[in-house]
Amino acid sequence: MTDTIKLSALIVVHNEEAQLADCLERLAFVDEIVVLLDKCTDASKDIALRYTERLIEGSWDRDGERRNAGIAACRGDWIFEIDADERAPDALADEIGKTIETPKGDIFNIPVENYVGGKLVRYGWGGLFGKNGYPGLFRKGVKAWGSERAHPHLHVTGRQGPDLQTPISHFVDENISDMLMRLDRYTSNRARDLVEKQEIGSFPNMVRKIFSRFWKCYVGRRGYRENGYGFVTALCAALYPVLSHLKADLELRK
Amino acid sequence: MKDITLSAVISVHNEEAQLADCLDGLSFADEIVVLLDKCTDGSGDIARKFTDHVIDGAWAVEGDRRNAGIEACRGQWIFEIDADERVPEELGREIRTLIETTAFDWHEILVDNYIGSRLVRWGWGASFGKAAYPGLFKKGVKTWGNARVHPPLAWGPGAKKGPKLEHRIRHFVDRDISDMIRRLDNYSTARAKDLKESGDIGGMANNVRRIFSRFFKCYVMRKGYREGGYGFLIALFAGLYPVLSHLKAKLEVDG
Repeated sequence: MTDTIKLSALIVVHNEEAQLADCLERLAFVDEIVVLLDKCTDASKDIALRYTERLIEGSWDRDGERRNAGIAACRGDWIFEIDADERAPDALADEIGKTIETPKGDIFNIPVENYVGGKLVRYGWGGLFGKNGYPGLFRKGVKAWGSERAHPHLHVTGRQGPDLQTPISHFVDENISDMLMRLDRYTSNRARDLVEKQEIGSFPNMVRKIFSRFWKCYVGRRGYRENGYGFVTALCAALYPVLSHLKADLELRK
Repeated sequence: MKDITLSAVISVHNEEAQLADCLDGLSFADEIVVLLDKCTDGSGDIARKFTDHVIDGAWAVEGDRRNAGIEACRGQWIFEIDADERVPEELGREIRTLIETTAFDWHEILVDNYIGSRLVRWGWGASFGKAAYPGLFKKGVKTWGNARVHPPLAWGPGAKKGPKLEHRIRHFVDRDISDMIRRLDNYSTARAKDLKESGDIGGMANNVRRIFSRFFKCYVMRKGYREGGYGFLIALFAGLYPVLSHLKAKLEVDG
């Protein structure tokens, strides 16, 4: 290989045949695309092969571990991390190019615009039920994921640069049913983490969190401006701790 | 052919995992009627091992399919049951005895609801679970209304309600909390369609108030607090059912 690889795009995939092509289509601006295929049984691999030869196949238990494996496989000096349900618009590609040419840091936050169905839902995300931004552009070696199943912690060693301006588009849920199913998945994972840490918390405290988190998302993050979906995102964020706690307490603890 | 005094009727949509176990407990009835609604699994084969009175079809609305099942029953008395319910022998015997002697037209049957293997007795209600249901009735007195979820019941003029049966049916309603969440999702989706069709989806403020009034009803009045965490969840989901139905109708149902 003659060209030096300056920028790698990393995408971690578990059965994403419906989303993957559309996501990879927009990554032509990077020097290499690395696709990590975790237990894929659909056509994800065939789709990925149309865009890159850099595939890593395997089976990982935890999100953090598989993301670390993906990062390790990237050869670029810089890594851009993206999910299959996200789309990088051209303007973001331009901004990423400029950012790494004259970097003012080692890791950069990318703002996120979340869509439910076809509708942009700008306000009300947070409380681990959605992200407004994520540290998705970073120099190789400065970012490592923790080993939790749900929302692994990040270990960052580099200098934080200024946030990027152009948002990535995140097609997070198709509808309210999708949101509820996501809540179910997240809380099942979180329950396992809680039991493993032997720290499942107290029920009254989790009940209090229903109100504090609802307030944070619906009022603090202005979910009320979203006319309905903001209510549901705040509700899901609010119920996340108590559902995780009860799944751990009633169904996992022996 | 022997006289048919008592029919058991069951409406089924892809229940191969549950059906045999349920039908196995129905030998106290004189006939079993199985209505297969859009079944694509082994439900039909299982049903035919227990009865030759099987009706195949497709119904869009729960009330309609339940009425079709009732219509097909030949007994003077009808016992209605779901695939995730089990009839203990004592209840079967009690039903047989009761229909010989009762002066009434319909009776309610108490339900023991199980989540996983745990009996959860308190806190059910407000459309998220039933503590009792009018499952034993004379042919002709009970008609289901035309709704996708929780269809209302119409009783024939002069139909007399008798005392509840003493023994309880066992209802394996959810395997775990994930099942409860899925049920909340399914119910509210179906309810959203009903609301949209009715032309009145209600208002947000009122449905938010209902979160609290329904939670209170299940958790306090129906004593869900006695069940610990599961009682809390039943009350919570009963509370959220109207507002989620409303929002799905408002934001997502076409029409």
